[in-house]
Amino acid sequence: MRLTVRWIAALLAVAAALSVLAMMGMTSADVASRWITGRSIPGAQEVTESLMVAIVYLGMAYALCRREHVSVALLTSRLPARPAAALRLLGMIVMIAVITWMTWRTGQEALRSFQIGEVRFGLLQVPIWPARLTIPVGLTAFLMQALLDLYDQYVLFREGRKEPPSGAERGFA
Amino acid sequence: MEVGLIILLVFVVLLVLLAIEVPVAFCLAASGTFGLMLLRGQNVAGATLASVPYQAAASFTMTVVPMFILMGMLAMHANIAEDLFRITNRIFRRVTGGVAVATVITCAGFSAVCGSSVATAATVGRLTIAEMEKYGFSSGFAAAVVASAGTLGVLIPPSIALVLFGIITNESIGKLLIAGIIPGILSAVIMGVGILVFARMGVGFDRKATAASSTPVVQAGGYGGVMRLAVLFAIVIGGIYSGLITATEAAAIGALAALVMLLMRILSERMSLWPTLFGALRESASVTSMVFAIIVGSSIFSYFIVSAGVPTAFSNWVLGFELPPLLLVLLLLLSLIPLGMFLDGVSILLITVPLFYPVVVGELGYDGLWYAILTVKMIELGLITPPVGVNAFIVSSMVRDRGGLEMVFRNIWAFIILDLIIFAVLFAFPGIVSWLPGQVR
Repeated sequence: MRLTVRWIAALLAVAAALSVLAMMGMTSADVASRWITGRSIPGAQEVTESLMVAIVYLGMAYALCRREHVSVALLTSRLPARPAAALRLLGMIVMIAVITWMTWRTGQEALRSFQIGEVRFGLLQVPIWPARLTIPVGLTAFLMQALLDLYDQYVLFREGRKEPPSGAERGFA
Repeated sequence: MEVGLIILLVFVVLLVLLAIEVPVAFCLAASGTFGLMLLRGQNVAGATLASVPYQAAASFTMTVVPMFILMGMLAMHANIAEDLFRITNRIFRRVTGGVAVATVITCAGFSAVCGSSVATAATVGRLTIAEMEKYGFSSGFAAAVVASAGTLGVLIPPSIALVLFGIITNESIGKLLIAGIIPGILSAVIMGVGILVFARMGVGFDRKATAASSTPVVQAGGYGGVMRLAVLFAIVIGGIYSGLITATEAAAIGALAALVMLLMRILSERMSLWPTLFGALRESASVTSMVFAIIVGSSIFSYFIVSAGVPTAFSNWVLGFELPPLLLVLLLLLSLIPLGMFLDGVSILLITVPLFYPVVVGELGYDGLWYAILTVKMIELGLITPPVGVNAFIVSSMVRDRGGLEMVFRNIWAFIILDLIIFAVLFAFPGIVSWLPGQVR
């Protein structure tokens, strides 16, 4: 089970990585085309936007796997093991609830978009349901990983153990 | 329920979720959703959850973020920081504290190809902390130098923070990036001079300074990396400055150039391509995903904030004190310091800029670029202030002695003072910020 989720997260991360590469190639090619022929590549901008959505959501489970998301361990790291685990459990349940709702609603959006053949108007009419579909797909993988984390946290809570130190206080910018 | 009560409740929920270690992105999403449910009902909250995740990500302007991240990731493998440190260390090694000045310059130089403070501190710290320790600096001070100079990553373009500021406020991203150059160089100079003064006073050393006598061997060469740095900077900043390409395109072409440099290095040194390239791509996707989780979360949150009429109320409230305008701006900026102690830079930007920018630029009429740079300066400060200073956290794992994080924080005060001096100079002389972007065609 754990391995399956890891695999799914890794697989989606590969797709996200390839999307990054494609985005770089597409935008550079668009500039080259504009300099050489004086015209943009039709649909390049629309496709790039779709790739953007794919990168964000397909990479999300992997980012959770790597504990990339920024959180504040100021209070919980000072509490005894069991109360800290209990609080973390509560927080994870709230997070999972919101993301489940989001997954459900974005899934409906993707289906609606597919059914009505929603397109992004530009030089070409690029369909946007594939981009919309990556959202519930990525979020579902994220939820599976989050449920595993929830189970781990429950075990910590039951046994009253301290969480192994993690790189929780990270960030970017 | 009364609006004021709902707002209060939502902020309490936000703080509670933050305290129980929910990732910031999901704290914002959850409390925003909760607020919308109370304010506008379940249907509106659901519709927001259905539409915002797509809208927040599917924007052509936003693609500048993953491209700058990718460029930084690839630049890490281009030996840029190594070579720059080799050269600057050779120049400054005879000066007491010179190795720390070389570190600051290396950070500033690497910031010119990398938009992230954390990545800058991580890359430069691996090279320079051990070297500074060799020259007699204490581990904590050496790490503090990198933590602090690493924050230049968000000021010197490319900068993820300035890009996000542009996206939130509709200021020109190109001009924002250009506006970061002179303040960035000025910051590096003030930091360097500050370190030399500290070194004179004996601050930061735990052994007698050993500058000239037992100098560790310094290698020759190192010009290749500096050339690559110059090329990348010329492409990105030159491209934007000349108006030939947009910031988005400059970022993609910069990433492509960094990729070509990586390929050339792989060919000449017979390294294996895939692990490095694929690692950089996957890492970029992962970090992009993390940054956008915060963007989506705060979009939901600000949807609630706007629905509840907070920005107008906030604006009326602060203007109601009838303080001198400059004092009000100063107070708003200083209020970012306590936030920076607990939140990361992206969240601070996304929460405060929509509230503060309309007051400072819209109502009081100050220059948006000036305000952007000062905000980023405050975010830089937040990266090194205890208890949650992300950069301090990153470098603390790289020092020789144990007890890393606390040791870094014990030495960071010197750099907090320097940062405040830089802030004061920029605050007093807006021309430092606005001159260069004013030259852009």
